[in-house]
Amino acid sequence: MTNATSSLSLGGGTSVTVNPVTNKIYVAIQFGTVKVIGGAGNSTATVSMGRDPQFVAVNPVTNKIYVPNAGANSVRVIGGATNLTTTVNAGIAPQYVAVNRRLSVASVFQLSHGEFYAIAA
Amino acid sequence: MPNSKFKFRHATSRDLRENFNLFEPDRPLYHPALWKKLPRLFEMLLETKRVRFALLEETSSGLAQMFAGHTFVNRKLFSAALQPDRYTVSDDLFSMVDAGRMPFLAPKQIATENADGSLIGFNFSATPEMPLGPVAGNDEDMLLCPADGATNSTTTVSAGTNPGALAVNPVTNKIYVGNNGSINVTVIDGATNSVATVATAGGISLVAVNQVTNKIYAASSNSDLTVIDR
Repeated sequence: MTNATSSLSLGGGTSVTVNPVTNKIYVAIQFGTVKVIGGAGNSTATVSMGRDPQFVAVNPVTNKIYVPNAGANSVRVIGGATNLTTTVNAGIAPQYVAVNRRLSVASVFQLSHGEFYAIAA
Repeated sequence: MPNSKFKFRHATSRDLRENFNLFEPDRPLYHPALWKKLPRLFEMLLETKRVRFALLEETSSGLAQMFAGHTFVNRKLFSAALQPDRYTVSDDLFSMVDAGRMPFLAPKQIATENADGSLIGFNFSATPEMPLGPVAGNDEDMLLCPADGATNSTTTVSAGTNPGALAVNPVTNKIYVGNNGSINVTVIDGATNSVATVATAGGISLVAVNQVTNKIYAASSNSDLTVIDR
């Protein structure tokens, strides 16, 4: 089938990323959660973030998901297997995160201040 | 690893030159190497500051994700960052994006903006050259197709309105452009540059590809997640 589409009603996703290894999709939702979608059956789970997440990135090697939490000056790290979270301090108001699989480092950056933070990934 | 902090904005031209010289100076940085190696350049820039991390995965989709992640939040970036026959990138990309401006630079060149607003740049040849002339402009609906690795030719492919998200499936050689304004995804065939348009549930803020399952996920900040099944 070519370009067939379907929709998942999640409540407004600001960011989406895929772990191709686990075939899970992570969507940052404006209302304080990250939705975890099983790519095969579109089952969803909800991980509470406390505050509104803007961005989400995945390390498919370690199966960890990174969610900047600007309001708390931290990054929430989701364990892909359990959906349990831990919190890592990350500068001031981090907005975005990118993962380098080779170096196993996540870079966290803040748009308006131009500041970068590195955390082990 | 302890957390480390680096104020990227204050990179000096000397920092860049030294980095540049470290950065395989004899090897031109064409696509696909351009897309693959820019993150490495960022990484090296940071390494000289004794901050060892890289911005991105070393994949074209990783780079695209960087752009995509910074396109939105109501800032003009992505469309402005892409110009026919020109590449644009900067170590201070995010600050410039924030300010609503981007330099347009010829291929093989990279520029940065000093804290005082002046532009500096380097040619990706054996001898770094500077300065480069900044070029203003904003062509909202145009999308740069990365230069052909053999000929360095570039092609412009029209996307939708306010294209702001980009993802690549390297397996199928398809490029997915999320359009915030026209509420659809432009699908570019990387081999032919032919385009198809797929309607989405809302204006697209980010696109992600699962290259294993060949499913494409387009997120909308005010509507449903659209799943495109190839």
